[in-house]
Amino acid sequence: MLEVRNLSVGIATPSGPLALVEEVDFRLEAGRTLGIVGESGSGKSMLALALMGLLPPAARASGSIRLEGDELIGLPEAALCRIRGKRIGMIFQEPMTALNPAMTVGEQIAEGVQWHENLGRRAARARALDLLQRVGIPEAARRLDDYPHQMSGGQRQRVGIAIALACRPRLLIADEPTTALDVTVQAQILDLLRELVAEMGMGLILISHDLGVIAETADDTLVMYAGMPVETGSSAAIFARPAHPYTRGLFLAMPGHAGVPAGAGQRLQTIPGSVPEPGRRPSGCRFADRCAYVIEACRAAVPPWEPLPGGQQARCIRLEELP
Amino acid sequence: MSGPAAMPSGTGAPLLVAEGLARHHPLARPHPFAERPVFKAVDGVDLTLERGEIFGVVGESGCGKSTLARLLMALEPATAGRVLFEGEDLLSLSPAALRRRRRGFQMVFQDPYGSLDPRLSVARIVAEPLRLLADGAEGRSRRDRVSESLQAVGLQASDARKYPHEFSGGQRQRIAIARALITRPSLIVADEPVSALDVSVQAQVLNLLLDLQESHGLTHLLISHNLAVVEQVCQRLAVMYLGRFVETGPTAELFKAPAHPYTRLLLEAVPSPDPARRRSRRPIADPAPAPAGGCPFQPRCPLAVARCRSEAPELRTIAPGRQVACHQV
Repeated sequence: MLEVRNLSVGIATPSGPLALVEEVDFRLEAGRTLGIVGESGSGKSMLALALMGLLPPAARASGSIRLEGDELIGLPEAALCRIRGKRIGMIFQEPMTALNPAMTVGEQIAEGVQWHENLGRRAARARALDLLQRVGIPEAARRLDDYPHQMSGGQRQRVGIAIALACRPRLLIADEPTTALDVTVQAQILDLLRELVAEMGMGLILISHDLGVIAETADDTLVMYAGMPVETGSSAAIFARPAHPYTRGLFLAMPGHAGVPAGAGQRLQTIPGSVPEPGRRPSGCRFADRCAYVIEACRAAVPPWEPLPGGQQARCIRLEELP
Repeated sequence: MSGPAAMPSGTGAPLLVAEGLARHHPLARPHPFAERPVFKAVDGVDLTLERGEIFGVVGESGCGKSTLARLLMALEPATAGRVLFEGEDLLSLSPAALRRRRRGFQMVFQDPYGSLDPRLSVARIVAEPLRLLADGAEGRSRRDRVSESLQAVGLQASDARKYPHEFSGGQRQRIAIARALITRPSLIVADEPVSALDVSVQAQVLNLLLDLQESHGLTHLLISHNLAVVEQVCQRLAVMYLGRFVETGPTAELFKAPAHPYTRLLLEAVPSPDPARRRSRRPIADPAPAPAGGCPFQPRCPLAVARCRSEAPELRTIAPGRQVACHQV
């Protein structure tokens, strides 16, 4: 349904073009969830904006994004406007700032339907009511005329999901949808997203820095580091047998992960240093400067994808020699 | 490596004791003749910190954990209760005496971007508590203290000349910890010290807290919403809900057999980084404001009975060192 090939995002700077996201490839089938995980500076949010066609004016995407066969890269803004909200639904991190404080939630849900489907006010309002009920807002008929400030953070994110679903999109992109929420509310929202994907047969791209959220929700996982994917495969495989040294390091640094010695006072394993900024990324393997297994060849060129059993892949030339 | 959940090493008197600590905010009257409603940010918290331990307070946003930290640091006046630091009641001290006392307890905040003044050099940021405390450390001795502090958190003495923007988030949090260490405190209260940091950097900072506990015998109070973080570093733990402790105890036991329904709900809600353990959760009730009477968790509680609606449960001991505030346990 969605096929992304060799997608890169760069911006022009006085000292030449600067790559923010490089060489992203993935496919997403209807009814499945792809998790994109990475730390800050990994390029995951820039990738999300590129998929939505919402890049800042200075940034440029190249490569190919095909949604149900239609190429999105290079499409004029007017054409993108007909796709965004209609065929691609978007859910953002901060439900308070993503909503318009001066419009009722009912109007905000109905807005897209009226625009994209030329539905009348009445029919759009009926659709909004349906959606509000579907995303689990109690007493939906009464809450339709509420403003965002009258709702809790979790309810606002439910409204955000209702807006994203309003035109029954084929593809849903959620960028850190639960990061601003408490764990108990996060659990509710993730459950809701899972149900909706199964019920409506959408494809979901879930972007998060939280490995737990990805493991719980995504069928497949793409691990990003410093603007580039370093590992991809089914979530079950990646979380059971992470292959790339970065993925392994990330898992072992995370309290609560299976491989981490549990118990108060146990030291965590760390990855030395921090994620390099776009202008300071090493030219070969982006992880070379922080990797414990680095050799000369790692710095010579970007490592190709190495296949692993079960469709898992990692961009590392030393997979076979790793302990 | 320290021993398995070693009990607090200090045998003597506890470092800090809070008794019946409360912070109430009066709200606007809904109409002129109504009784004035009161928001109870912290509502009757008892807490004992033993020397050398890392004590965790977990809870969701709005549970009062940050207010509790500020009360313990005497940064905010309490509506009721006492805070005894090394036996001395902080809330009854004169402002000058309190200021002198502050060298014994320091705070680390959540956001390493917001808590460091971008116009000051690292040396001035780290030395600032000395200046405010009129410590008397001048010139050379102050420079030595700054280098000593920076080295204790894994930075270089030469970093003192740099400015905050030259550092990454994790390094900034180290600077904030160095600033807290410079007065050689015995207690550090850290309010969400790693929640703004990436996973790989978070691990570095958590290890630093453990190192400081070991090498300097520091006592930490760690406030966090992240249960996995608390499990990793804290010997003892309190779970806070709407201004009260609902469960306290040794971390390992509390995680193995959570007693309070809210603790169980929290533990169930944490997403597991292991897809094999992906489970179907029980539906979770929406957060609800505290009811006028009875147990504050009662509107969300799957076990609530009539008694929970009429009578607020007190914390009571269910096993050595473990307390729960629930009628149904």
